[in-house]
Amino acid sequence: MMIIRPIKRQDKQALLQLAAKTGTGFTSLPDNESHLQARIERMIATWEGKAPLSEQGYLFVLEDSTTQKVVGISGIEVAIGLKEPWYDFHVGTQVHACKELGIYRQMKKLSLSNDHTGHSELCTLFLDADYRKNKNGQLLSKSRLLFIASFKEKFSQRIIAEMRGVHDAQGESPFWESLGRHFFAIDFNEADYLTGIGKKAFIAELMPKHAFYVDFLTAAAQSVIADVHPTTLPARNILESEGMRYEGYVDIFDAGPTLEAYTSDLRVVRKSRLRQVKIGATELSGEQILLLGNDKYQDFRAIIASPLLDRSSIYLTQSQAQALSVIDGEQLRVVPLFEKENSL
Amino acid sequence: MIVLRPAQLSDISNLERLAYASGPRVSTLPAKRSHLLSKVERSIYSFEQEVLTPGDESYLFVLEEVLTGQLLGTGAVNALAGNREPFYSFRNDIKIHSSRELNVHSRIHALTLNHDLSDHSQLCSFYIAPALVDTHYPSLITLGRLLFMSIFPMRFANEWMAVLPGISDKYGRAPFWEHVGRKFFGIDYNQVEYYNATRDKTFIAEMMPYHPLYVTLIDEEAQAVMGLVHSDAQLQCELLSEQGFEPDKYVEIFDAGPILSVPRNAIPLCQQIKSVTLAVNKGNAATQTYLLGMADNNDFRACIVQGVLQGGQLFLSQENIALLNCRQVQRIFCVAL
Repeated sequence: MMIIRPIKRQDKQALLQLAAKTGTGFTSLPDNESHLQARIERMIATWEGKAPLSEQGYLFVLEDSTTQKVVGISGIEVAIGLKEPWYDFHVGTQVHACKELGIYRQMKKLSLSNDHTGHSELCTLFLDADYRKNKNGQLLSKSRLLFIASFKEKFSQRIIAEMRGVHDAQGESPFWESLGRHFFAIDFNEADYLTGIGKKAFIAELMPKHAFYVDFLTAAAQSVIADVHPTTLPARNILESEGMRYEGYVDIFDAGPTLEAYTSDLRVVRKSRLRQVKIGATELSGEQILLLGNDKYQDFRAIIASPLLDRSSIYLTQSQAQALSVIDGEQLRVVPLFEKENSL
Repeated sequence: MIVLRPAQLSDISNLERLAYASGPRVSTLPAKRSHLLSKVERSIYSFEQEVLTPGDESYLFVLEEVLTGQLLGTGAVNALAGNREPFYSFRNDIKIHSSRELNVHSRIHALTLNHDLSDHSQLCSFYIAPALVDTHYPSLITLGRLLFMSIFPMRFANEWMAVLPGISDKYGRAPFWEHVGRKFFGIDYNQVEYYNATRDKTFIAEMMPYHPLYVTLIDEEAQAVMGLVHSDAQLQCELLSEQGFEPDKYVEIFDAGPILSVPRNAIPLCQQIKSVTLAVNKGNAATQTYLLGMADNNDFRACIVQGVLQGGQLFLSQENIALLNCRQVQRIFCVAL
């Protein structure tokens, strides 16, 4: 069984191994041991109520219960940009018109912005290639939303998710080559890595402060603005089906789109319901594939299953209850895994 | 004898011919009769004013062969480049982007639309008939105007400048326009220069970019021509440079032609002006070349003559004195060339 649970200190090695596999543009899981160690400590401090708002975050792992191997990771940052500025580019429209001469032009421009300061962020989503099947990606991505639904007051009213932008097999980003390189004089990988380990001051020091017109970028750069890397498309589709939208903000390095939403508008937050656990000897199957979460803060668990449920109860097997760390009579938070399914 | 003198209404037809011959390169001399007429009227009015401080005045001079009446060139001065309306230019600012962490220290250039030069006096509308390009008459147009400006300091500002045409080919394609201005206007270079000369400047405020343009993002073909002067204006560029005009960080907004400027005190010519009276040269002394200017309150004429300067007198030939026909009240100045 595939189970979502909070990260533990013992997961460090597994995390390092996953980090080594993520490749270019995966900013938030740098292949850097001390950084990952610090990250784990920060997550634990959050769960223990010891972290200030500016440092709060959650990291969940996907564990294969048969091998007890950690094969996936997903995270949430509670409030970005409160310690160090959070940058993105806002894609704006500027109209230049002269009625007298009969000229009218719309121009796209990019401006450096900190507009998402204080928002929560879905981040650090990675699934081992061997496990990209059986809806594991759905579980990994959406279980976070279930956690947020359970503990809404701990998160911001707005939530974002940055999607990796377009770059080629060599790790080159056309957007970086057209813009960033002129200002930074380093490779995209290096800029991304530095950001990932928190050395972001250089952005403020070197990035163009004034808005600039997209027309001045190369055609290749223009074409990738707000486009995702092909491998990121499934993740984008998932989040869009959950109610997140591109609203004109892109990453400053590779121009990947930022998806955003009001937290209360997320489908899982709106549509999840509570049911009382009833454990039975035999498996009783329902009609829908469901995402199940145990509504527990410290000991959060989530799985995918298709148990039977009625207006008040949900019928789990013993092993399902064990995986979810619940006993008979406890509350479970339930939502159809897919947006297109009917409501409960 | 060829003289530089203020334009008169009777010059209109000839001016139209010159404007047409000068082509789009001399954008401040559009081949449109109504515009030329108002330019001449404005010039006449400007000469007639009792000016205490520069304002809306604009002075248009023509180069005339006195014996035939033929017009051979033009040159104008705007008392202020941007009085009624702002004078737009691009200022090439350098922004220092520095990061110790990355050991990066870059000088990023950005072009900012501005009105900084509005309160400069502006030399413009320079044109010389092709046949006279290799003579000293181009100097007459340029130095004659500088002499005029020096003699009537209250009519002009302390900083003087000239916009020179930038690079464009014979088909009217200007690389800087192609990669910058066209993105905002969508029209041809010749078209926009024509609008610039014939309309008020509102269209610039409406259409040009408000944000600074990072030079590093501008196509290299356009970057390469920034601050370069068109070969047709090379002569004018040299004449002005000899008088201390220097390019600074300003370029023309459409073709990135250089804008040369100088504080009036730094102009060599101004240091060399001598006030003289004229007399007939009877002796055989070797003559030198002089720029001669004759001024009274509302008029100024200049020419280039051979003469002998002695004491406070400039000795010219009888024939020249007769041709010059200066009036009693006029002040006379000369500068050795």
